[in-house]
Amino acid sequence: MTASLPNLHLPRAPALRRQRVDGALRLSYRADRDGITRLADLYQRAPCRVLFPDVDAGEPPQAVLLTTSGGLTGGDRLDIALQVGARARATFSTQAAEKLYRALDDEDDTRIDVTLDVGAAAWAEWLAQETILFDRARLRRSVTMNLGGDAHVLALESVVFGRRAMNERFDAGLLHDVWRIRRDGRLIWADAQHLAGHVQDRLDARLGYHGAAAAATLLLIGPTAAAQLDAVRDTLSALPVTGGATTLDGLLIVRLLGTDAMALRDAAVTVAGLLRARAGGLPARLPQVWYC
Amino acid sequence: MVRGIERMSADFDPGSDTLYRLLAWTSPSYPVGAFSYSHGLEWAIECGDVRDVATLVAYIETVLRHGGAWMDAVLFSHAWQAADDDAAFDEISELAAALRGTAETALESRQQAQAFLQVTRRAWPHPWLDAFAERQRGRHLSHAVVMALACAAHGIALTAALHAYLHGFAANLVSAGVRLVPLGQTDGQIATARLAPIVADVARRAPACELDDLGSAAPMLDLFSMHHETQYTRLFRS
Repeated sequence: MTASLPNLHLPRAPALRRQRVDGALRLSYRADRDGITRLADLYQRAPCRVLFPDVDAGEPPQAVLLTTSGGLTGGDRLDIALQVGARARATFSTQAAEKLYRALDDEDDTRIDVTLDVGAAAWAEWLAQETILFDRARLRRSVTMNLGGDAHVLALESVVFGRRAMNERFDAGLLHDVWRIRRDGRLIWADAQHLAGHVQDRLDARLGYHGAAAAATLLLIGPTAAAQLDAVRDTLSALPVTGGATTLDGLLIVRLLGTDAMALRDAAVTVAGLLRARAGGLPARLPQVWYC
Repeated sequence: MVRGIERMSADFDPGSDTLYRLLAWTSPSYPVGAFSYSHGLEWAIECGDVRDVATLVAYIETVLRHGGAWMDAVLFSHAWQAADDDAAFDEISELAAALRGTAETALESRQQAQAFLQVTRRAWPHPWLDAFAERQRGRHLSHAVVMALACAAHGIALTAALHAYLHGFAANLVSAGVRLVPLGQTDGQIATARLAPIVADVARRAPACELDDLGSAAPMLDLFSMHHETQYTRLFRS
């Protein structure tokens, strides 16, 4: 039937536009005179929201960030600024995986900028759940950390290159993923991954991402970071992912690649748990949202 | 003083002493210790990922197009262009020194940078090099950025300087491959010849890459370098 054939001469209907997202979150913890960490400042603008679940005794206060829009697309941006004052302790996590949907050609890249300022002798954790890149998503993400003196930070970020279980792949698009770590104002480590265009070749290449369906970066920054290297290497050697660890300038860097996103998640949870126990004196278990 | 930036459009005269300097600085005999670094190649050979001319070329091509040498090429370009602006140059220098994925690739770049600066200040002195060394005392440096400064200071055009830097980077890895695989000397030169269009392509594209788009896309190279740290028998420091 001719009715089922597309009419190639019709102009394309204009894409339905939803309002662009411009979310922001500012969240600040400080230690009071007794050394107890208290919430000091909170500002949230949709779709950014934060929850404060009850935590077990001995755990730092926990903030769980969520995006109520149910995903992000071209032109959307989130601006997240977190502070942990001197001697305070806090754990930041995210409620669920962040979905990055396809951006249209005429839309700007999606931007997510996270800054974490951590005062001297403080312990802060940034334990974000996965970012899932749908095909033709275009994401520019930065994580900037400013540490005072002997502060410790444990950080985890991971990205999933399409949901393979749903037969989806991140074949084309942009991932520009940046870390900047400063201690006492001086840049001690920077990292930038740039996957652009037809990314599937890079993801499949043995010398690229080695067929990874997901990738994770874990960082431990602080005076005891380097001392964890051997324990992390021992743990990595028993995990079903491709991984490695190194230390430089008071940083422990762990990189994980996995052909199975769930196995990669489990591996990241194992290593992060190990580090929070060894360096933070905390339970090896991650925040409850990781197990929901 | 003729500032490097004003020489950008000047033709590169092969009869001038700028060519002589460039050849000296990128020669394997320039005493920066390049011969002791393999940029993870030693582990890739241990694993069997690199075992002949084709796989050696593939490894070095990945470093050049998606790995550390690509990052350094872009940083080299931006540093050369900012050479007459201390604040801008120092910011690129700090970024370049920090953009190191592993302990050994950091050592590779930082140690060669220190050696290059020290030797070049004595043998090919220039006030820019002295001023930079004074400002950066005690800080980490990167080989690409220090050489970019020397090239700009001595009036060497960016295109030629970057091409020579990348040739030196690639040739050094070929040399490491020849020793480690091992390969014959002629095979090494076949690899070098095959890398020529890749070096030229990277040298052409890197100056057009904005710092906002600078990044690598080869995490396996970082993993090779991390594993090299614990390689049982090894000849190289990276």
